[in-house]
Amino acid sequence: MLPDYPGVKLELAQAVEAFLADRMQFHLGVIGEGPRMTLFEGERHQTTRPDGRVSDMKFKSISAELVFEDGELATISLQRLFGKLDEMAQEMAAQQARHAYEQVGAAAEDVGNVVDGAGAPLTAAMLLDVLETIHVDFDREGRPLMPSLHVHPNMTPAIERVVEEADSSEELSQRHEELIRAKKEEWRAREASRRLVG
Amino acid sequence: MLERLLEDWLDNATERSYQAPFTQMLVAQGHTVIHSTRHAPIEHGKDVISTGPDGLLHCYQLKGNPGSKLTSRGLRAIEPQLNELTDYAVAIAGLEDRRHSSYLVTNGEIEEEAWLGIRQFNQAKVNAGYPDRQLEVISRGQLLEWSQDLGADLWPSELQSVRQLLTFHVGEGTEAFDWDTFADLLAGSLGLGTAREEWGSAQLTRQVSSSALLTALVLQRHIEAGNHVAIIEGWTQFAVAAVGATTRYDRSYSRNASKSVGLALSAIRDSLIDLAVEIIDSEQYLEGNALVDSIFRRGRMTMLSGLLSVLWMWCERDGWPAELNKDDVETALEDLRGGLELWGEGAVPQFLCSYWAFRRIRAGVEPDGLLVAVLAALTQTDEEYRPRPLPSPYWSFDEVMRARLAPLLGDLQNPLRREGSSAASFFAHGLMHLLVRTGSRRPTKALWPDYTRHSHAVFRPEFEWQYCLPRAHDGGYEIRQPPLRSSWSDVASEAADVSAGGIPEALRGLPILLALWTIFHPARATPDAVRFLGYRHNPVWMIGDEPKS
Repeated sequence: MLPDYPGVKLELAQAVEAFLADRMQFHLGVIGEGPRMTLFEGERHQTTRPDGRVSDMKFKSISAELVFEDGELATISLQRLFGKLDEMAQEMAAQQARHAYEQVGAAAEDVGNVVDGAGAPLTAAMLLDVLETIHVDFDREGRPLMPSLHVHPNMTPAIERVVEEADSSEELSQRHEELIRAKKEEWRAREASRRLVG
Repeated sequence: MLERLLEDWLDNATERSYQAPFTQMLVAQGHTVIHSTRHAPIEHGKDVISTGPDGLLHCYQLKGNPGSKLTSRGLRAIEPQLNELTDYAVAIAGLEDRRHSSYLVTNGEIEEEAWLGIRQFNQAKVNAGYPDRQLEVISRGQLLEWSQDLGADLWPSELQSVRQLLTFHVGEGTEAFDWDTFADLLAGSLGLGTAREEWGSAQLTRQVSSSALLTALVLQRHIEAGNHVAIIEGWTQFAVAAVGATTRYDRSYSRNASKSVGLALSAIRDSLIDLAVEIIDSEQYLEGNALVDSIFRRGRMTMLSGLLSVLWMWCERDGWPAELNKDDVETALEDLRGGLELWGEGAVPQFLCSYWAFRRIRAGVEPDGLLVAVLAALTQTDEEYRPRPLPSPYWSFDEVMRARLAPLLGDLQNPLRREGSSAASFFAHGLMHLLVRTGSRRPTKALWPDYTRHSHAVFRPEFEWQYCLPRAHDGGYEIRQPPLRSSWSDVASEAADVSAGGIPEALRGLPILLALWTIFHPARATPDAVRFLGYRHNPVWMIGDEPKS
């Protein structure tokens, strides 16, 4: 064989793998911030909610190709290699995010927790309608732990407009405050119900 | 290649390291071994006693002559023991009046002059009027033939397997046991892979004995290094896998594997006793490079406490060996308890075994405080009431330490770097049930709100036999979010379930082995296993009528 340099190459391969994982995490954005646990065995996953509802999920593999042109492997620079890996990470993150949104969407449909805008433009009132359907928790100081809002990048201008609308409307601000008050009451009742009786 | 490996193993084995495989070879030939342990009253020159397929008694004295010859001088040195071997009756109740055959076993060759000495030894017995007190010899050639018959023909011979076997052979023996590689080897030799073998009962029995020999080979370096924990782990993995094989192939455990598993348990008990002696002698529980050992010490103490507790429960059940003083063991356990560290959920089975032994050693509420403390740590939440889970039970102490040391060792060395803030506990559910069994309503109710803020996870293998694998290909995780409100009677009713669903019946019949299995593979300590083991190892039952065992 030709001379190889397996020690240092092994460490570099580990660095490549770590880079790929880090970039995937980056491209996942807020999706990547949720609870996460490595699953070491099996091929499926089932969740039972406090009300007894059960949802099943099979593991799904995600993959992306790393394509090199003829002879490219012999001369590729590390900078270019990591650039290609980043593209690969982006593709894999997109697949994972798509799968996650599909799962969330299906779960919401299942329990009827969907607000259908029927094609109408997004409004602040509509967002408050959505918030009404969402479970909101509070911290030990009683501050709300507001859920994050996931929208397609194309909707960013619409969201900015809605935020402006909400800020300038006394009526919407008041409705928002009332909603948070109601959510807090729901949370208090929920917390008070965490009991083992008898 | 496998033949060469066996030859090399035999030529390097000490008397101590070939005793266990020798007994497994006897079992493969239809013997029932009735005495083998190194830690039992001395059987006058008899290291191993068996009854053969012919119903006769056979007694063996084992000598290690690795890579050398038994000389006439060496023979003279052991002559008193040989006389005891041939002349003294077997000192086991019910067998005292039975005649026995006597064998000198050596893994070396026998020098011509030593042969002459043996012939003279036998002739002297004839001349003295005891022609039936003959000494037979089993030497290297015979042992090699037996081991090759049992080993090389039945082990997986693919290049990958040979390579895996070689990795054990070239190790130092001081390293942690490589259970992952061993699982691959056992999957091949016990038919526990994805493809099902067409094995009848006789073939399965031979595969079990053959796998026991494989285990001995794999553990040779660890035995030489006195790495007791690795030896215990290796034999535990073999014994559980053998149970798994009989379950998968729907064959009787007692007819096809119980003899080999019994010998494995004997080897485990011997190593636990060796470990206990070392723990008692150790002042600070340091090992290896002392300069950097302090941060590993508490994790080590936690593991030692778990294993010593298992031995305590074992000796309480089957009797204490002469070389171990019960008071010394209990003092060591108390000392170890002062250094326990819940470094991850992987440590929970070690805590549980410590708790069960503690509960039986000491009356009062103090032991239950340990259970409450562990459950409180498993269900802790942060300022925002969000769960703060420990690393999952799939992460070992070594891996968790690498994660902790990542700022020093570099993040690439951190196996947990991709682990997120999981909100699931694998143990809180089972421990909640144990706490309910103690009847301690106040702490249970106090922990309940945080308990409901966590999700509770369990992995259930698709098939029962796969419970006996460290990792199962088939099956799934169940994540349960508990109801916010529940009643004591409902939880007590769940806590009373000791049916141990998903665990093979033969393994349920071996609760010491099952406890060890959960120590080495904590994800197998499912809530069902925890409830069952708690029922078998802990006398506390404050929730109505106890189930019949």
